[in-house]
Amino acid sequence: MILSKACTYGILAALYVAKETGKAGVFVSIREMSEDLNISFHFLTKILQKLTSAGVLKSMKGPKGGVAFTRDPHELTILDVVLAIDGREIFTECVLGLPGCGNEKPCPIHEYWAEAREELREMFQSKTLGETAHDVKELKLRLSLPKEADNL
Amino acid sequence: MMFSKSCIYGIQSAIYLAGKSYGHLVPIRQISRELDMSFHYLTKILQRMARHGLIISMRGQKGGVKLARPADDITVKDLIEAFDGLVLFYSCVLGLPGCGTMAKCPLHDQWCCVREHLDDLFTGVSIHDLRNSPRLRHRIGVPEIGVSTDGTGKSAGSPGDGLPDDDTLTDTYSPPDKDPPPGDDCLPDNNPGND
Repeated sequence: MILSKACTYGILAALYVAKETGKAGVFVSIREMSEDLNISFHFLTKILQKLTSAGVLKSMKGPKGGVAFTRDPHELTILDVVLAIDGREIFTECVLGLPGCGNEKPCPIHEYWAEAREELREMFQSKTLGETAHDVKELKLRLSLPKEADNL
Repeated sequence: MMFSKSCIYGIQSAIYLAGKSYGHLVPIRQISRELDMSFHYLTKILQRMARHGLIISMRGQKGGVKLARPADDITVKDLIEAFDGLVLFYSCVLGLPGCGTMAKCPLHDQWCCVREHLDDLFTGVSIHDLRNSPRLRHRIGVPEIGVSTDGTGKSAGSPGDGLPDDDTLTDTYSPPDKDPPPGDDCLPDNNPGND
């Protein structure tokens, strides 16, 4: 997989918040999110922590608490979530994990991979969370995982 | 990481075997020593490769493993398939349930394009290509797994002899912080080859 499971769940969570609120500063209950997305509360909390420490989301305790965007979701892209959770690794490391591979001493597929990962980066950057959430709504896509999903 | 650690180690083992004369059995302990992989973990990786018909293993004193077919006939994608499956090449990049069947996710069309490129890339590169890249030849070798890397460290299954003192093991590749999981994807079936 290109993205870790935590990262794809993080994208689902971010899209969920964008879909529910559409703007910054409106809090969504984590418990409800966990139930709607079928992601275990414990795992979801861990993922959301990464998004809050990266400054994508902020959290608030209390009955009306939860998580909210720090900025307008139309200013945030999927790439922001990817970087917050999986880090830059995928955009910097040798795809074959070959030791010492880099721009100076590239492995045989380094250049092709460099091209492909640029495509990936562009793809993740091409849509804002706001837009994507809008599309998800329009297309009536489910964000929730199947019940039997292994939520770790 | 895009691929599992097992997959990466599998690719590196294949590259190593491709450097040996075709058909020649290489003792597993030798690979373990030269690539700095724990014997136990390497055995599991090789078992998986054997099960997928990528290598052949022979038991006995002169046993070991060899590529099951010429290295130019084994692609990187064959290795990916053996270890990680082909889920990368057909799954939704966002992991959205139901994407592609009933409706497309917002990244679907772009992702299809990217993954086709990835597919071409990994199908187009053989283990032979990787082995014969002059830039790479002396740089194969992975960080030692779960053992100290100072002069005293020996791979888990290593007998008395120390690590070879050549530049195949002096890479600057920095390993991800943890030991590789002995692997949900490594099944200890029968033990191929006991060199």
